[in-house]
Amino acid sequence: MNLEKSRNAGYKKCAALLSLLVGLDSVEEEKIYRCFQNMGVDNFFLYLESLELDLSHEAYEKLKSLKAVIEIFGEERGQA
Amino acid sequence: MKKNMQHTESFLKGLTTLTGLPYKKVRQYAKENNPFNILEHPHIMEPNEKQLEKIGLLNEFIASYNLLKIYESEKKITLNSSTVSGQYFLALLGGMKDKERFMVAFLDNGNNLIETKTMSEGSVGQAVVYPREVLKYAIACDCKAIILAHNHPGGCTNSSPEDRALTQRFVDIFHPLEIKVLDHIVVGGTRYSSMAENGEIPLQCQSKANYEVIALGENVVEESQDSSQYTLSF
Repeated sequence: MNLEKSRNAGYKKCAALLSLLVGLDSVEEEKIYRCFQNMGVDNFFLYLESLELDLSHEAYEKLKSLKAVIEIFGEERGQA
Repeated sequence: MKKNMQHTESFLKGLTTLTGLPYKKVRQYAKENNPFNILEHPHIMEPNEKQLEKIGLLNEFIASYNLLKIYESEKKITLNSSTVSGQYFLALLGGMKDKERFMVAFLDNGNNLIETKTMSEGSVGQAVVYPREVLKYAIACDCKAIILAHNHPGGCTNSSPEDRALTQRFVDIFHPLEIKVLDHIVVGGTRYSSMAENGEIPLQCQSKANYEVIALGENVVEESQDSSQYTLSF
């Protein structure tokens, strides 16, 4: 598995997990997967507020919650 | 201090929004304990099935996200401790319940990752490993060490007698070629164990190299320890 393939497989997995966690449909999951591919997961969460994802209010709030959790958990574990 | 309190508050709110755990309960727990324990040891919150599933998903997401951040930084991935290796394979194998996958990380002499390959994948009880195939890749990429990893779909992270026998077979094959078998990571659900950390990696050959196909199997053994507390450097 080279780096590019690994990264893509990771994006796919992350989008699928996000979909289950936040409650997205398959179209929304695909949209987020494309975002990951285009800008990376780090930038996705960094610029989350300015992205036009056209998600439900509830899903959007959950994404913001996820951003808070991974930021704080990462800081605590020295990974942010 | 104030920043810490705000952080804890944001973390707890995020956690309850995502998992459905009652805010009051997690707040109460966090007053006297480290709130991150909730992710690492979810049972302390006595979650229902749905909440437990969400915590599992969140853990899996965090593991995958952390791995992707490394990929995105385009730094070399160095698997130089059982903790790093465990986290790495947890991101690749975590949460896999419907199939078994056997992977091998091929490393250079600085334990930098050359390549990771899925060497076998199959439905539960059907996956087999071909040592000859692993050897072929190891020679092709001129690796100096390998780390084995596979998942237990049942969620148990203890190594089974079959896992230990498989590891010995790989040592018998690779040790004479001066390729080290550094570790064997067993992933179950959202946790992992390291055979190196548990002192279960054979240090020398036991018999002649045997290239016959190996069946992957998960024998459920009573779990007795949480390996994630201890770091063993290679």
